Amino acid sequence: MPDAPSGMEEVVLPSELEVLDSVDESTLKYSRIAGIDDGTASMVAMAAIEAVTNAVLHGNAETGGTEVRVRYEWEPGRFTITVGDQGKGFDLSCVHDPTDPERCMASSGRGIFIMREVMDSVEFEISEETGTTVTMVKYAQPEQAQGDG
Amino acid sequence: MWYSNRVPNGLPVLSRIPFLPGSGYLWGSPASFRPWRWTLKVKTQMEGDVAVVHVSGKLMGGPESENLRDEIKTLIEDGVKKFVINLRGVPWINSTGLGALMAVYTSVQRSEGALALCHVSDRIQSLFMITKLLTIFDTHPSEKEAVESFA
Repeated sequence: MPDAPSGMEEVVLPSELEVLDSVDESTLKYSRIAGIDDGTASMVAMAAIEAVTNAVLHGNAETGGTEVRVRYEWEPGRFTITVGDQGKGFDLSCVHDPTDPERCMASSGRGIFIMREVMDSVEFEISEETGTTVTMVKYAQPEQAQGDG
Repeated sequence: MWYSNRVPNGLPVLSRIPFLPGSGYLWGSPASFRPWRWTLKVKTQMEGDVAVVHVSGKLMGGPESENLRDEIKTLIEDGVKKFVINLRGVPWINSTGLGALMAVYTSVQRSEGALALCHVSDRIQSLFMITKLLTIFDTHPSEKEAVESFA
């Protein structure tokens, strides 16, 4: 791991669910380079997929011609993914706990929950003018997450 | 300095040029972006009175997720009460795909039927675990065991 390279890649993708496969593959690859083990990398890929799904279905509201920006950043022990849409933002306080017994059978509303459960840090920047950007971080070692807060 | 590459579908891809050694930036277009035409395939075969629904492709949301719901709805209307959904052809799903499974589960329950899943990948199992739905779905490692669970 001390020899793992650092890097960054930013891509602009069409706002379509078909791009999820490439997001999955890239997330797996770069998170492993950061030193994250295979099992955890699969979970990180799930979170990445949720973020892009939200950008496509909710942020851009499946509007033709819109785009999703994805930035992958990796360094030894830390992987960061940032996903941005071109929508009008949303009210984060309206996101409820899908594990609440009254909501557990719902057919939607689990994306952000999954992101927060999997990643060590999930931060939203929401703007009506510029859309929503979510930045998620995963550390290879749990103690790194505690140290960096 | 930014460089723009064009990927096959015509969209620009932004990459930084590693003009300084050790700059930490990576040249090139995304490692594996490729246009992908998805089709969610749903095919049913009857094993006695058990409908085994084989699903393959991407269960991701979007209009194709309706294929699964429509198939189950038709089977319910035909009087089927026992369902096995074989997910061997589905390597992973997102929460929207999970929602489609939940909708199917609810429909089957309302018709007083029973649903089992088989060949659930590790990633899908992890998703069930994270979302606390592991106890909702009756999962089996093989189709045979899933069908026999209704015996």
